[in-house]
Amino acid sequence: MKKIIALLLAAVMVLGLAACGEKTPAANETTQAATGTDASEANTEAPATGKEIVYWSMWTEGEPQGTVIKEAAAAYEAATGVHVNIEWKGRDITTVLKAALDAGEKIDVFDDDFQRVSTQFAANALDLEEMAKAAGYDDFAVAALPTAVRGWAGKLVCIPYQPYTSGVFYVKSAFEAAGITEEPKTWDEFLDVCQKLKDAGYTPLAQDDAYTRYTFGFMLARMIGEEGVVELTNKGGWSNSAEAKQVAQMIVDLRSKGFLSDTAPDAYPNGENELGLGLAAMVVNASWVPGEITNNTQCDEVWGMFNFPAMTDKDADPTTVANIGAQGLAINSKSENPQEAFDFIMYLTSGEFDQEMALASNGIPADTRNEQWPEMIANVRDAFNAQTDVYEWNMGLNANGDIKEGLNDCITRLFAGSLDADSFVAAMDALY
Amino acid sequence: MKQDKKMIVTFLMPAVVAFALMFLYPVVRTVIMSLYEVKNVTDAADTWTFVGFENFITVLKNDTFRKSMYNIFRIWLVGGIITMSISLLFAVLLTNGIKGKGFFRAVIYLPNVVSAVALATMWTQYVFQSKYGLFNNIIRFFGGNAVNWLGPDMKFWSMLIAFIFGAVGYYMLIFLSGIERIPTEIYEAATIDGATKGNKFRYITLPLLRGVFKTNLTFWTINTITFFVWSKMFSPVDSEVSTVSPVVHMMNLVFGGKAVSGTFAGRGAAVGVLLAVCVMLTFAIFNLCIKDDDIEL
Repeated sequence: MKKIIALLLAAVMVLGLAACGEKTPAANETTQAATGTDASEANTEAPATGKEIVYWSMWTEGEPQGTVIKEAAAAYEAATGVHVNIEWKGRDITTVLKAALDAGEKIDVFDDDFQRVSTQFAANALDLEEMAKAAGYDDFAVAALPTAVRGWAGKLVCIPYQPYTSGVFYVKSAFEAAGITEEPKTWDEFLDVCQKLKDAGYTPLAQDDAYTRYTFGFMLARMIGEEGVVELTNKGGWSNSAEAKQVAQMIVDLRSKGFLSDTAPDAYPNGENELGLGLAAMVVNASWVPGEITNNTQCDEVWGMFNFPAMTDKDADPTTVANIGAQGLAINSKSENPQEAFDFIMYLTSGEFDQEMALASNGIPADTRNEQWPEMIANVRDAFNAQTDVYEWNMGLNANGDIKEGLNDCITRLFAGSLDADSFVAAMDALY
Repeated sequence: MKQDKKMIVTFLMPAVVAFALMFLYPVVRTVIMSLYEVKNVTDAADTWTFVGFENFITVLKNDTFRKSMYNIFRIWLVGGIITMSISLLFAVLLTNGIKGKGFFRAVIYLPNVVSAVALATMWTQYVFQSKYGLFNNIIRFFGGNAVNWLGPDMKFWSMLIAFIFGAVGYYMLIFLSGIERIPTEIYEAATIDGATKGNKFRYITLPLLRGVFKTNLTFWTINTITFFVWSKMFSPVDSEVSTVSPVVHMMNLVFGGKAVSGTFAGRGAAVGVLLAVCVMLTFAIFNLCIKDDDIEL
């Protein structure tokens, strides 16, 4: 009897294990069928080739980008007969992608921040130069973006899309209420604008703690260039830098003149939300911020944007240099269908679907032939098109990973008014 | 008897193999990796460069790591004292014949049911908000000056308050179950002997909760060492000195932070090993200092 029970239990266990090993469709997998496209309808346009490309996406299915990607995948399958299997990984893709690629997981296309793809994931990404040349990619790309990719990776390892640019974003109604008709181009003009906004009852500049390095980096990089910021960040010597001290003093002055909120730097996103709540007028950030604030506060503001102003007449960089970035779509170097994968990427990042994605996500089109910009960032267009060079995220202040958090703490305390210019540079040097 | 042994081996084998593959192997690999310079977690072993204890020295010298350890030490000590005290107080109150015990127990436990992400969002975007937040509205109502709860000087303590709020219910439930296991006869006998409520708590409840204290302290230590979600939620864009925890620092080292500054899987492994040593030391101290219950209840 015992033997029979033992055998039965063993059989149940084996069956249980076998069931665990059986392949079941992953919950986060979306196939074309899930998009609602009728397979027979697709077949009428292009016969199924039996080919499938697997795309690990940094978006989630519910995001505007996800919706457009699903539409593009369905249209691509209808046109080519190649099925696109999308796995929605969200922003956690950063932590799981490298291991999956190295483990030989079947991934044809993946995306993440284009700088990360061009550095951390470059070894796993296919060289796209030949295919890009054949597709005439450089003719319609935003030139600064593939240039940046080639600068990091030495070749084109990803196709940038969903570009963003940066500068000072403002609420137009606040400028109108303060009687401001001209956007400031220099720091002195910027201070005049701040005074007028303050007189009109607005907090001139909102500042979140998550972006203190961003604002500080812009100010310092204008004066000494990004390379100068990188050198200071890596080697120290802040006390010996007249420019660093000058920037620190400018921030102290912003605070003492009441141009920053009493509670600045606020916890992200409370500071930027003040623009949507009608309390503040300007924020230094990137082109996603109007959409983000509108989404957070449900405001209906019209947004303006100008390039970060010149700090002095001896600046190293002109005002046409800004932090420009994007997401990057890459092809796994082990992909069995690289051309199909590239065609799908082109499908998504140019023409109709690039336009659709820009409009749906209030983003900038990656295809320069797409003329239509979302209304919310329509004012960003001139500044974006005029930009001549690119800063990295935080304009060089992230160059030294060992002191990144300490450096951030000093800058945050400077904005908070806990440090004056002298104690700030001393605190920065104490990090080394 | 021999057949029984075979049976035991047969049934244990899957669990042992799964344990070895999924737990033992990563642990051993992490320890070895901590002695090598490794860029990515998945780099082949032949690309690793042996550096001895250099990773540990680099990590221990790193200002962010030291501050992250200081942060979790404060969370463990200050947060631990406050959480255990409030949890015990609630547990004692709820076992003292209070009306609506079930309701209060559910209310106090409720934050554990809500996702930590949602809770943290509520704290950062409403309760601690400087202009229209709950705390500052109360302070202003009583004529006080608004506090910048999420400013660089207060952010750590605000995070700790929010974390304690979310943790109290969990530890209260464990204390509750411990108190309810104490036979009522002991309290009745003490009452007949003229013991006050304070005396009963001091001489009956507390000594008989020794084992429960040990359990709660063990859970608290593990929760503190693996402190991650609250740190990320209070610094959502990039890690900050005031909220960074060793696990967040380890994630930044292994996978890179917001900005790309390289990945250092070897150093990340060293952080993991150091944390494991901390956990083992803490448990050893607990075992030495807190004896299990003498009385079998």
